[in-house]
Amino acid sequence: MGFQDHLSLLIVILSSFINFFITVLVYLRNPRSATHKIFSLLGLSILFWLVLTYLSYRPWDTPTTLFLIRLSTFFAPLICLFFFLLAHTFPSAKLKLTRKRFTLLAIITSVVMILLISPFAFTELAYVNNFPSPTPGFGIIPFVLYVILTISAAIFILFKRLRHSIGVEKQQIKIVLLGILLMPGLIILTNVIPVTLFNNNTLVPLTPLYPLVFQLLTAYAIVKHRLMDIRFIIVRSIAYILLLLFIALGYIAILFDIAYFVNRGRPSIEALQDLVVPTLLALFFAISFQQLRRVFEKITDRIFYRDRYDSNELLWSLSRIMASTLYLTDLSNQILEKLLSEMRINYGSIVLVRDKSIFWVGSSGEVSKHPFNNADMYSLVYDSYHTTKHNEHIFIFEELPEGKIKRLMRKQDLTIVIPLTVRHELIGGLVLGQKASGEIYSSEDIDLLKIVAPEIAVAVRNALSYEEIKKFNITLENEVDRATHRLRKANKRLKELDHLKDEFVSIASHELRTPMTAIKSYLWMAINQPNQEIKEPLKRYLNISYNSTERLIRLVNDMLTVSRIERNKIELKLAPLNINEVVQLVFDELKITAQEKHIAFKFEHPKKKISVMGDKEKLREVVQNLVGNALKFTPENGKIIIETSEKGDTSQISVTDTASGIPKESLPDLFKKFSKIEYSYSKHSSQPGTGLGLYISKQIVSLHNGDIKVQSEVGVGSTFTVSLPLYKRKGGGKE
Amino acid sequence: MTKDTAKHILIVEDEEYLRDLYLQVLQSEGYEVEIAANGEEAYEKMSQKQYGLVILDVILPKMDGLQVLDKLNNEGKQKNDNIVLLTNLGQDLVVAKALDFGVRGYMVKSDYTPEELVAEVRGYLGDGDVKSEL
Repeated sequence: MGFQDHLSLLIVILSSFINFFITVLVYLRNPRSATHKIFSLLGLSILFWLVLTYLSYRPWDTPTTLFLIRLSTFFAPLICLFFFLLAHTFPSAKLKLTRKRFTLLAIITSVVMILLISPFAFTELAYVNNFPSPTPGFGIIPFVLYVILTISAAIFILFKRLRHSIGVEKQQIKIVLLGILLMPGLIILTNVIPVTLFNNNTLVPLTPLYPLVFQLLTAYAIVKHRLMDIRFIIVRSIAYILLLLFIALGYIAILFDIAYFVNRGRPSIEALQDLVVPTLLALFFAISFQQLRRVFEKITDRIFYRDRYDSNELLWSLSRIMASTLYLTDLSNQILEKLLSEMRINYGSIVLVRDKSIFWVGSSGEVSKHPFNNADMYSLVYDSYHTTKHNEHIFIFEELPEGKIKRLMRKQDLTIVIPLTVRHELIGGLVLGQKASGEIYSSEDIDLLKIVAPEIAVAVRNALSYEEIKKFNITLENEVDRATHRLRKANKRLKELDHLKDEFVSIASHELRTPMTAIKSYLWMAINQPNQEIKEPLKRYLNISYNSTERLIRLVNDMLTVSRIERNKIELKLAPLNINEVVQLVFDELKITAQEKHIAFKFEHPKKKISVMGDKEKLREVVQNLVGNALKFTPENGKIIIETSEKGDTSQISVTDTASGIPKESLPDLFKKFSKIEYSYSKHSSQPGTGLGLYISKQIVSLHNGDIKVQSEVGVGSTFTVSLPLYKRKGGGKE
Repeated sequence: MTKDTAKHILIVEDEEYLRDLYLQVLQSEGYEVEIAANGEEAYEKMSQKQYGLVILDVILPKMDGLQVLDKLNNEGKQKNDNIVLLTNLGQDLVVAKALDFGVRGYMVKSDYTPEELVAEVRGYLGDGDVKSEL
């Protein structure tokens, strides 16, 4: 076998394998679909025809060769039949041909086939230039007609469909037609041109590969659910065909010269020289393959694909935009502008949803030409998230069946709707209009959008959170400012009020005490005037008036004290003091009163000093109050004992009387302001109190970190005990 | 301080009844008593003459007691140790301030009977023989 034989065998084996592979693959993809079935049958017909044709060119005896030729042509009508059916059906899953027509077609095909295998088609085999050439008979005529009719019908149907179809189907048909048109194109390039112009048939064995081009493209159109941009395929195909042509021509030159060199066997300097240049050329082409490919890609791109973008570069710049800003408006504008300009889209929006409506829209491109209906837009975005197709959340206009969604998208003039979700929560959508070129979105575009959508969602959510935080901060700041302002105002007002109250208390007591001083003083003058004796009952009246004035003055004084205590305005002049001395002062002062009432009045104290840190005057007031009360309530011939002692860390002053005692239920109220018990006792006393004495005493003792307690038994008497912390100094020295 | 000036008392009191009362009580005790009904008058008198004792009210027309003390203090014409506050005001702050100006003491008017007042005055003047005259 010569070189060409080997090449033929190799190509036949190769194309058979690929053919078989595609056939099986497409069939397995969807065994129920008519399109897939027809495609597989077409593939098998081609396979048989291919193999038989190859075999028929092998050197057999004449009858065998003739039989093989007949047999190979026998399969040709089948190819035509399936091709026609495919064009008619594609890309539907159901056969569109009626049963009647199908039967008719099947009968015609069978007749043609039977004629082909019979001696009427190829009557005999002759050899022209040692090449087997069958002599055609009349039986070949129906075959030729059949081929012409079916093929042209198929192509006619496809073109017609191309005109009427839209979107994906249009793309699919385009690709199939491309495959069909490429076959004669390639035959012209490899067979016609080399053979007629260069008298070279080296590339003829490549012919079996050409149906593969058609098969591959059709398989792609059938199987792939989203198609590459047709221009992309054409561009690449042309680039590779040109490349193949260049390399092929280079090798043709080499083979041609080698054949010349070997067969004619006349090596001469001229021949060798002739060989050098083509070999170098071939080498040059081989080495420069990559560079050439790039150059051709670039040239073809420049012509056909001026607006192609680099996905990686676009993704990178989008990521950079998303990382660069936290402002929602900036973010949305920049993303959309980039997407629209790179992908050549006329319009795009990022919409955000909340509470079943769109609450934010950022648009770019031909905004004015696009209607915007909140409810429709929300419905689209919502549905895009809740409708899943091929495990993807995306609406592409061309791929949608007619229905509500498609209608809405048409109304809004949208081609793409992608939901924006963050952790399974729908936050909005990315909606895009048509491509400026009118082309459909390529799978490359869709893939990129699917990659970039979740990133946009996260970036938008972040921006949204940022704005919310910012807003919240501003609100919070305002709120704090307002609250602070209110507090300041209130504080100022309170200070004013406090000052006014101080002033009021002070002035009121002053204004009350001034006339009372006059009354008291003049009453005293009247009672004590030496000029004439005052007789009863006038003396008694004057005394009552005097005492009442005294009582009123005490009341004012006590109220002044209470007011001071309650406003924390009281200041203790603290100094170490001996409580025995304080009690002694009071004891001495009140001794006379006790004697007058015939009360046994005793003061029992240890010899040593009992030191406390305290305000002497205030503590004297306390003791005076307690002893005064005891004197007030103890009946004549009663007993009052004052005792001082140390008990642990405290000093104690206790005043025990034999008054009527205080009922238990009244004890808790004893030290309250205007305590009922004290008040009622006061009322019945000859020397009424103010109802404030015990309260003031308790407060003063508390200011000294001490306490007053009372034990009482009705009918027996009471004991009031003042406890004050002991004052201890190094060496125990006091005062 | 001579024996004469020691017996000179200035009563500064705006309340007429009280002023008359103090004047009467102290005169009957044998003191030479002058009176002033407002702060300005008091200031005039105190700048012109050295008294043995000045009984000074705080709330006064024209110039209050503390202002009088402040003015005298600033001029340094006299020490304020011959002045006793006699007031019905109950503010510790006022008293503390007055004591800062160097006054000898303070009395709450309503707490004193005329007899007790005389005793206090006698105590301030360190004069024992007036009591025997009573």
